[in-house]
Amino acid sequence: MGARRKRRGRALRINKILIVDDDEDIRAVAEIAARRIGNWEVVSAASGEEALAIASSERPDVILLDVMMPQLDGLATLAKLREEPTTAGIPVIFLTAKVQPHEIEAYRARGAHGVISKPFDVTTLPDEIRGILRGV
Amino acid sequence: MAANDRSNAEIAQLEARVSTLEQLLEVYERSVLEQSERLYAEQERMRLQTTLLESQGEASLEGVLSVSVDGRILFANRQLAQMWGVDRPVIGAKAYRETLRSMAERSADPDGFFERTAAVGDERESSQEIALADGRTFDSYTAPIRSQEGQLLGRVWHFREITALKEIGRMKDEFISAVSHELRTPLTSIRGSLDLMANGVMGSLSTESMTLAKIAQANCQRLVRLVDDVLDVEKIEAGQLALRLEVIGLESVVEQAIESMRPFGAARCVDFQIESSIQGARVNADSDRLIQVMENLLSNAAKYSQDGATVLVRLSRRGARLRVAVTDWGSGIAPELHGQVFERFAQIDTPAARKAEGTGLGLNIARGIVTRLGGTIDFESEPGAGSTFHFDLPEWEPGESAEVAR
Repeated sequence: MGARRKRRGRALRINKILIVDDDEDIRAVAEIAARRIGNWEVVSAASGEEALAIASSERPDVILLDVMMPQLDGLATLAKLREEPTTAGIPVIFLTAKVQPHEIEAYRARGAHGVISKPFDVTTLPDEIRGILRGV
Repeated sequence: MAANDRSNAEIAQLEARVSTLEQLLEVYERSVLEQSERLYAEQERMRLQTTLLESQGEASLEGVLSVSVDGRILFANRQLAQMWGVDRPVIGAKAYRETLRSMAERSADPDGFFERTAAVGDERESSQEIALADGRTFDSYTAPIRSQEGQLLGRVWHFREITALKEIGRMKDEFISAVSHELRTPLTSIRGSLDLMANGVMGSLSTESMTLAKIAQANCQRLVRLVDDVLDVEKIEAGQLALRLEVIGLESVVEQAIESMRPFGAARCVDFQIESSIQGARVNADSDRLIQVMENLLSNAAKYSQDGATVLVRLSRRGARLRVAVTDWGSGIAPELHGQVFERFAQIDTPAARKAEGTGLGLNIARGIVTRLGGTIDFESEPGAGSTFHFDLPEWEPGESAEVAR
């Protein structure tokens, strides 16, 4: 409970976001939106493995994580982030084309803060991220 | 003399009689001959007909089996034996049950097959798909055989292999699904780039550049919608449309949908109005999907309306059901097209300038969703006078033990 409150408390203010997607173009578009509209500092990773290293060194305030990636997929990456003390508390939002209601529930149960479906609306992406972290 | 005269007269009479009898005999003989000739011809005709019927049955691409009410094999073609992989039943033999038994052994559900199929005395005709243990699929049709007087004589079965047909259908669905999923990734970055530019996030563009960005953006949105709709149709067809059911106020869901469609209406100078006599009534439904249904009906109504027109949404109670009706006073639908309205890609009579607005899947999806929610959807329309599309959903009644919150 304490950890959860701390997570929420920190989430209210985003300074840095980590965007993880194996598709270079989607990553580039999301990065620009986060930088220009969200006014956030942006770091990005092209794979789950890379995401683990960057999350640990950069300590972002939130991670936008693609679900379908080769090798380490989103769910496996999330599990590893939670195992590592330095990244265990960072809120994670999944980015996925698979959004059947039961899948959203499954992602939440695995510890994701929320799910944003692809194709997403970039112009509202930062607001959507803020909304999820506020618990809306 | 008298006696002689008499006997002469008698002889003459007898002669006449004999002659008559002879004539009669001749007539009779002729008739017997004619009749036996006719009979022979009839017999020949029957034999020809039987041969014709048998060779027709034999040449059929379908497996055919017919049996009499007392379980005798009336007919069984080679195709039947071949497709089922059983010995060809001997015509005339009382071998109905063992024939069916050996066929049942090839089916994926032997007991079920035997039960469903064994009743020769059944008066109905029916068709069903049969899955075989080796992975093939047969389509079967069965009907009673009756005499011209209507007496039940037996039963006939036709079996047709549809394995390839089913496989093609499955491949088609898989292909569409795969393509649609594959389209989503590139569409995400195209749409994102265009949105950032067209919304001025990347700084101001020249008027012409902005026009191009907006054109690309609008068409990209249409493509996204098409892909979403195709995937929805596919989910509905496969019975895999997942619903998040909750008890919700129907009026507030409808209002939400109207609010989200106001800009769409405004762009076409069409106003949405709502009339409700069901305040507070609730349904057990998926609100996102219900909004999708409403958006489809509202966008159609707006598309087919004149500039400056109103689209009226009426909510009413019909027995245990709640009705949502969307009425426009637009171009209406010609009677000969009424049968196709809910079919896929059935955009009809769309004004050319507005053709590009829809995917042609909206009403098909609306019907799929409403049906999944236990409701019905229908419409009335008159060319030139407008259309009313309405759907009925069961009203949610709080259970006796449940808390009643009105």
